[in-house]
Amino acid sequence: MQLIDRSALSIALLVLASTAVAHADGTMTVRGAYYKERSTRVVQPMIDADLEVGEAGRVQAHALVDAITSASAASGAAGDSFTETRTEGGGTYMHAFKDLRVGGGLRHSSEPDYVSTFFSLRLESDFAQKNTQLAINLARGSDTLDNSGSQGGLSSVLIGELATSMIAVSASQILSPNSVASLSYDLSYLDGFQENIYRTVVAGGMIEPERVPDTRLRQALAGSVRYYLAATDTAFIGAYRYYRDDWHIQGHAPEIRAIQELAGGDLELHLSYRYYRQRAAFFYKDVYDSNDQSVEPFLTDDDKLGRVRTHNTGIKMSAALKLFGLRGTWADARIEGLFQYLQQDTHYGNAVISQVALRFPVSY
Amino acid sequence: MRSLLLVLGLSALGACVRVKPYQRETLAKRSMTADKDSSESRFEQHARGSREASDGGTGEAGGGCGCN
Repeated sequence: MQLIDRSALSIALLVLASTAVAHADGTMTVRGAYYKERSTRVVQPMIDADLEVGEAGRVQAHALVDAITSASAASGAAGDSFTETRTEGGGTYMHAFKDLRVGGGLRHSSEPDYVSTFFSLRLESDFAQKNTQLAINLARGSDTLDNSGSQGGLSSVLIGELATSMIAVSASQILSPNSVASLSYDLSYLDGFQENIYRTVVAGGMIEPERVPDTRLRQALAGSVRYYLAATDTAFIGAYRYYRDDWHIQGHAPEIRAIQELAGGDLELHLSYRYYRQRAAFFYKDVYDSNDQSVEPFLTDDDKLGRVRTHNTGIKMSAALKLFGLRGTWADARIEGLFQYLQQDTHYGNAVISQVALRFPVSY
Repeated sequence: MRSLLLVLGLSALGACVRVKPYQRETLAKRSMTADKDSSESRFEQHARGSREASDGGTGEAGGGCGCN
């Protein structure tokens, strides 16, 4: 509860700090998300603020609570169903200097056995009469894990640290009056404890703790094209992401989305489909013949590091409150509901995801 | 390196295409700018990060929790 209070206090201070500077506008979003699969349920309420600060500043802040109920030992306990709570708070500030924007951010996440802090710096600039935008993002993360307070009553106490460094470059390009494309490349390097501290693996007839490499170099290349068909008021989005790392995992994720505007844009219907497949890590096996570290230096049967195929189909409705007769500031507020069905070929089984949100403008 | 060149190559297209500000009415529509707000994207990234080994492509750091 103290952590929840701290996150709420952080976002309140960020909002107050911005409101003390100048009169401006912004939006607040309150969202509730729900994820359910065979043995895991996640409920996540969150609040986001996106606020102008003076003539050239913009602050974005968020706070959330993640309540995870799971029967999976790999997620935090040794058998029985349990609930674990994670709190997260963060904020970014960007300041504009003509066509250049500079800023940074901080994100902090805390749960009983895991604490993570990320710092980031961002530089973005417009070119060619704002037809082109380039951005570079640098981030540094520091994670600490400690299972001494776990609910599972594990016999051995594990404490570890993980450092993450990331650089991302992205470009956005207007292609025509009704189409725009974007491309981004992320490179990240992880160094430290990356095992799941609760996962055990059958190796040589023995039960062994998971062992994975201490370092991981990850790369992702993603692109998307948006096209607006004026004849039907429909926007089409095609996206694709390619991922690879030095654990020999490769992932392909094509996605298509269509957004149908109705009632002059006050009502939107979103349809989406995403396919995902990945190749397993080079050391992944269901069962290992030996637990000898010289024979099998790494041990994991984590589904997530194996071969994965998923299909995610979704529908979302978004409506302006003016459709329900509201006037004034609240007329431009929007309410939305989302439902997705996720088919997974892993042991996790299929999942349903739903979200409801209210986004409203604020003046201060 | 090839990926970086691709990103820079796309930006070079800017030299070929110039859409004037008054021609960008369609591009300013919600559906062409932000069909997902940051909280929706964050939850999506978090859920996928706990079920897929891949990450990234968003220009922002993912992970940062024990479920990864």
